[in-house]
Amino acid sequence: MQQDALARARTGDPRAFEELARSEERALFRHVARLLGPVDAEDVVQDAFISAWRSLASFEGTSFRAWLFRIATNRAIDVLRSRKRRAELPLDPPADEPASWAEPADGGADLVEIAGNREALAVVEEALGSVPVEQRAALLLRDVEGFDYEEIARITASELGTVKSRIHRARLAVRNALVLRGWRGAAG
Amino acid sequence: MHPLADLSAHVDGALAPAAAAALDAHLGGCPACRAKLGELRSVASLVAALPAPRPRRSLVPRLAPPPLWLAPARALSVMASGIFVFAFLVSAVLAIDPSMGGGGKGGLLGPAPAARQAESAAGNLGGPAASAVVSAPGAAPSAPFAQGARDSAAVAAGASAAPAAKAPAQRLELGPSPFLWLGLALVSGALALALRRRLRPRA
Repeated sequence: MQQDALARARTGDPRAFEELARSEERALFRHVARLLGPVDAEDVVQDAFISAWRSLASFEGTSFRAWLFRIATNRAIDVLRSRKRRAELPLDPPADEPASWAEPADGGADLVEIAGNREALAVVEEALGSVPVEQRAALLLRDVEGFDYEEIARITASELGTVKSRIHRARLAVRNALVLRGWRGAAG
Repeated sequence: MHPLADLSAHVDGALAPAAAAALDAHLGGCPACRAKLGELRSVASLVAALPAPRPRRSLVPRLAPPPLWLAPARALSVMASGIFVFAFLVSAVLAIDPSMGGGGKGGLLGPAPAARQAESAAGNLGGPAASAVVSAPGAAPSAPFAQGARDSAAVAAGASAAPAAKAPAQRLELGPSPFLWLGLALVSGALALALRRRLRPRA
């Protein structure tokens, strides 16, 4: 059905494009909102849709969804980079710098059993906010939106090894934040 | 040597088959790495479980041109809203004070002064009719005349009383209630606003 709407949109049918956009609106917004915050995300997503409509003729490939996410993610990162000129934001650490694992404290909740715990989710949300945006984007594209590593590499215009490193570092940062709040790791 | 950097990719099934097999072999004999793998898997679940923020409005741009009937419909609803507001104001004024209906304009002013005139005429006619009635019982030869006088006085009084009785009842109203016009004004105004939003270009 999406392929049919895409084919019609490519012939210049605006209603077909609106149909496609409606099907991706929520996912695109939740992704951009986690990169920028909800207020700026509304404008960025709307701009991304308009930009996609105007450049639909240049879309090549089969995944319209990945293409939309690429446009929206690039716009979000551009907005964040313009904010960097005004405020300090974490930069991507050098690739060869080893990621460190915080040591779990004794007596805390088992990390593997806390999925769904509201407090844990709040810690995860906070930890994600302090992770560099490229790592955050890669992790969200993987764990929330379900893209595979190859798609993420195309969306973020980066190498497969870079995607792998970013996802690992972002997950590790979140894991360390949880451990430092008293959660201990699984017994094994 | 613990292949910690490969753990996340292994969680995601993104390692090449040979690398995945080698890592599995390592995990079989390394509880520390198995624990870390479990932690990263839990983190992936937590990130996936984060509550999704929702937009406050629709973010899909309106790309299709609006239907041809939309602009005229909006113009009509704006006009209707104005007319209903005017009707509400007139209706409200008449409901509060019918005498404020205006000067020499026919239908609006007529009933109230006519009512007063009819009342005073009925009062004047009632005088002779009353004296005719009072004098009638005392004078038998004049009874038919008195009866006639009474009858004509009664007819005259009735005729003048009818307009007098009618005049207060002829209070001018514009529709059943001013709030009807107000309601219609609000409905047509809301329709005009909704159509205006639909007409506004989004791209």
